[in-house]
Amino acid sequence: MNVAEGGVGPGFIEIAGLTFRYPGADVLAISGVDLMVQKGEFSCIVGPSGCGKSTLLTILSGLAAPEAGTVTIEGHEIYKDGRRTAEELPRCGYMFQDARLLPWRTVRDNLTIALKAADVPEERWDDTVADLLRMLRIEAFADSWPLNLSGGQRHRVAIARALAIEPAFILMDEPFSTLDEVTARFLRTELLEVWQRTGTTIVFVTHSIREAVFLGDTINLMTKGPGMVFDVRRIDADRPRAYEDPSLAEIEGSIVGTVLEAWGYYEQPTARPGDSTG
Amino acid sequence: MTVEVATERAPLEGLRQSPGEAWWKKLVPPLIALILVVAIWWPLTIPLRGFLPTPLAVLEAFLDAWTNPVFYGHLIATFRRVVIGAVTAFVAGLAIGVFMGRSKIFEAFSLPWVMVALALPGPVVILFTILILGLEENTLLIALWVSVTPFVVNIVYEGVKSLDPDLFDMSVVYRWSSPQRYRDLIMPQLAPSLFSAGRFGFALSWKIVVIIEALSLPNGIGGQLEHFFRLLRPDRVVAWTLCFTVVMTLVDFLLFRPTEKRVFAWRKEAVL
Repeated sequence: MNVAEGGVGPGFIEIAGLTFRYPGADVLAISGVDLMVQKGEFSCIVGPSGCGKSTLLTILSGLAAPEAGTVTIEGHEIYKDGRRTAEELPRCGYMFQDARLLPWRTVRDNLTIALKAADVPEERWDDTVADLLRMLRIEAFADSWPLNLSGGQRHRVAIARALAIEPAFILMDEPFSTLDEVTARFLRTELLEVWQRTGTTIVFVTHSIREAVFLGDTINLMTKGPGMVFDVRRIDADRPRAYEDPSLAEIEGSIVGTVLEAWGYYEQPTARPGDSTG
Repeated sequence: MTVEVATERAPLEGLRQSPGEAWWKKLVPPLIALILVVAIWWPLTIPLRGFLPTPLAVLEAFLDAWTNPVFYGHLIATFRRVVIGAVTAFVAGLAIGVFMGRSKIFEAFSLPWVMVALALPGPVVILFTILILGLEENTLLIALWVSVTPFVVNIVYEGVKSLDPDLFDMSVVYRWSSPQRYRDLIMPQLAPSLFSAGRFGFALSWKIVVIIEALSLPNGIGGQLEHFFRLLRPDRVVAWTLCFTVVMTLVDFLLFRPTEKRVFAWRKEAVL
C-alpha cells in the first residue's frame, strides 16, 4: 500500500478485509476494508455518504463487531476473522458529529466524568481539566452548562474530553460538518495545534476532500457503499497549511478527478462533483 | 494562527427572561379564580340549603380544625399512610419501569399485567382487597400498591424508552461503569418522568387512603369525613378535606418544587 511506501514502520492501526453488515440488513455496509494508520499520524478517510466510513469508526471504537476481517491496534489483535478477541481495546477518544455532552453537567463535570471512567487518578483531574480548557481556550466556561455555549465552544469541550482520557488514538466522525465554515476553520487549526503538541494518532472521517487535504498526513479514499479503501494518498505539504495554497488545490483537484469515477458521478451527468467542500 | 475566542460568543445571551417579573402577574390570576369559585358557590347554597355549606361555615370549620388537637392526630395518621404507601409504590414502580424499559423479555412479560392493572377502577381494587384481606392496616397498603404502582411503572417505562441512544453510545466508547451510567446518564434523562410519577403517585395515594379510611378504618381524615357525613355536617366534610389539601400543597411547595428547581438548574439557566 502507499503508506508502506512512505517507509514508516509497522502500522499502529492495521485493518485487513473488514466487512460489516447492520443487523437485519441485506447489503453490506463495508466490504473488505484494508487500512493502515501510523503512530502519531493524522489519517483521513474520505468517502461519499453511505459508504460506511462512520461504520468503520464504530467498529474501531468497539461499539460494533465486524462480520469478517482483522483489526490490530498497537500490536493487540482486537478482532480476528470477524471475532472479538480477549485483547483489551486500547483507550480511544471519540468525537461525534455533534458534541454529545451531558447537558445536565457543567463543562468541568463532563470532563471529570470521562476522567473517572478512564481511571485517571483523582488528584490529576483538576490539573488535566485546567490544562485542556486553557489549551482549547474555553477556561472561562469551566462551570457553564453546555446549553449556554455556542456550537463551536461545545465542540472544543468535546475535543477536550477526547484528549482528557489520554487516549491511544482519537476517532473523529465528521466533527465539524455541523458548524459554520468560519468556526470550522478555527477549530481545524486548533485541532492541528493540539495534535502536533500531543502527538496523538487521529483517524478523521469526512466527506470533504478539501478538509482532508488541509488536515491529513494521509487520505484514504473509499468507494461508494458498501465501501472499501481504493486509494491512499500521502500529503507531504508543509505545515502549517493554508487553504489558499495552490499546491493543496492541485492535490484536491487530482483527488476529485480520481473519485469522480469511483463515486459514480460519470454515470449521472447532472451531479455536481466539483463541490467537494461540503 | 491565533484565534479570537471572543468572536464566538454564546449566541443567545441577553434573551434570558428578566428574573423580576411583575409580582401582580403571578398573584392576580389565581386570586380571580378563587373569587370566581366563591361567587358560584355562595348563590348555590341557597337552593341547596342543608346539603351545601356556605363558604363562611366552611371557613369557620376550617379554622376550628387547626385549633383542635384531635384533628392533628387524624392528620398525622393519614399523612403517615400516604407517605409510606406513595414512597413504597414509587420505589417499586421505578424498579419495575426501568427493568421493563431495559429488558425485552421482562417487558413482554409485564406489559399485560400493567395494562390490566391500569384499567382496574380504584374502588374495585379497594373492595376486593377488603373482601380478601379484611379490615386492617395492611389492606390499605396492598390496595394502594395495586392502584398506584402501575401508573408509576407506566410513566417510568415510557421515560426509559425515550432515552437518547447517542448519549448511550458515548458512554460505551468512554467506558463508563454501570453505576456511573445510571447516575449521570439514565437518571437525569428520567428526571422529568420521575417528577410526574412522584407527584401523580402522591396525589393518587391520598385519594385511595381516604376512601379506605372512610370504608374501614377508625382513625385518619377519611374516617372522620365519613363520621361527619353521618352526622350531617357537610361544612366539616369540606373543611377537613381542604385542610388535607393544604398539607398536600405544602408538600408540593416544600419538597417537589425546590428539588425540581435544583435538578433542572441546567435547563432553567439555559436559554433554550
